[in-house]
Amino acid sequence: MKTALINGSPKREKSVSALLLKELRDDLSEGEFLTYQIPLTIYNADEGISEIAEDLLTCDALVFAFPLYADGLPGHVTAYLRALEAAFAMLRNKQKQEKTPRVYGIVNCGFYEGKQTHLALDMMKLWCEKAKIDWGQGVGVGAGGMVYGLRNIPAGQGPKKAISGALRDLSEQVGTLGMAQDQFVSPGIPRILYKLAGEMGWRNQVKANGLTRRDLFTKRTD
Amino acid sequence: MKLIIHDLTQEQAQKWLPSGKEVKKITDRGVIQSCIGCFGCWVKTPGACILKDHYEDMGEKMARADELIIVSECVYGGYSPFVKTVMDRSISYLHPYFVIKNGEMHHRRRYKKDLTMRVYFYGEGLGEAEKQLARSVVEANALNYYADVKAVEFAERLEDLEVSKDENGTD
Ligand SMILES: Cc1cc2nc3c(=O)[nH]c(=O)nc-3n(C[C@H](O)[C@H](O)[C@H](O)COP(=O)(O)O)c2cc1C
Repeated sequence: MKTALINGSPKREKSVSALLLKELRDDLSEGEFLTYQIPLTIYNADEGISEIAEDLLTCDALVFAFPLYADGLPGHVTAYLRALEAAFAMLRNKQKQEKTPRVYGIVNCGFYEGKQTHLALDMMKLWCEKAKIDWGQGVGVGAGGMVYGLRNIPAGQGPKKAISGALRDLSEQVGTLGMAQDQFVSPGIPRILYKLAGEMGWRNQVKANGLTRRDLFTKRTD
Repeated sequence: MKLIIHDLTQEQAQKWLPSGKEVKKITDRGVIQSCIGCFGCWVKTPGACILKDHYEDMGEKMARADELIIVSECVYGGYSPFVKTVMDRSISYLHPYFVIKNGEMHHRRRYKKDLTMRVYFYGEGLGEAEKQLARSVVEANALNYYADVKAVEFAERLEDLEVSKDENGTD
């Protein structure tokens, strides 16, 4: 079993996508893993892509994780997927396609409801159709702003229960190359608390930058 | 003012898009940087992106527009990489605080205004499922951006798109 873990978050620190991929990898435990970071560019997305594509087509499963941006795929993720689609087609023409991997997606978002990621997961499914590879399952995680803060809580415990459960289910699908309905989850805290904690977080951050809470309300048209 | 975010070349834009004093076009000059996910546009330089590449003032530009027109190749039921990157770089238009709308969480407004949105997608062989997904994406954007969707149209080729010339005839 060979699995590629592909992270589309632009963040090198505190990336929720990276944490979720890590937990999935721990759940999978066995097998060989290839890891990739999607480059942060829309212009050079095809740099080195044929080698990457060739390696991906030796995998049994591809797991993409990325943040929801404006209700869809981040721009650089769109560019990368398009470059991969073209590279896959080229390799197929040259009969260099070793396997048809199954694709899984983990999309996390800042709003509370994991369901808000469903359009991005549907985009991934469309990509699979066009790239002529198979779709497996998606997991949408809400309240992403809180997930990093829970990193020291063991998987499956307390507020992490639902997210860990969905990742475990996903790992079972990945491990058996299965296909299942998308799952949407949020951390186990009430929405109102997430909202209040989030807003307090914005105030703390703006102050840490030497501004005041009123600056959060800046209008550039004044 | 109309703000047009598009992925056409300069020549195509001149030919196919409205122009005039009341039109501001956001064109791909081959230099746009991708959003780095830092939220600096909310907590460091509120209302503007911290990346300086001529695309940092999208929030302000949206605030000065009354109509947002998007002309984009349809890619996997969404926008093309350039148009989407501009959208990603535009969240300074919103306020970081949250509100509950339609039973779901969204952002609070930064500016007291509503936008109208017209979106024109082009691309060969777009299937019904892809078009439906693209319509849902536009509706979701409109909900987040306090916008009213006036049109979502599709054409096989760029040439077939009838991007709204101003009804008032001022273009
Ligand atoms: C440009 C941009 C656009 C975003 N758009 C949305 C959105 O439409 N809906 C949402 O719930 N969260 C949105 N978010 C929040 C991110 O999805 C959230 O912060 C996520 O946890 C980041 O994941 P990462 O750490 O893996 O990069 C957006 C964030 C950024 C920077």
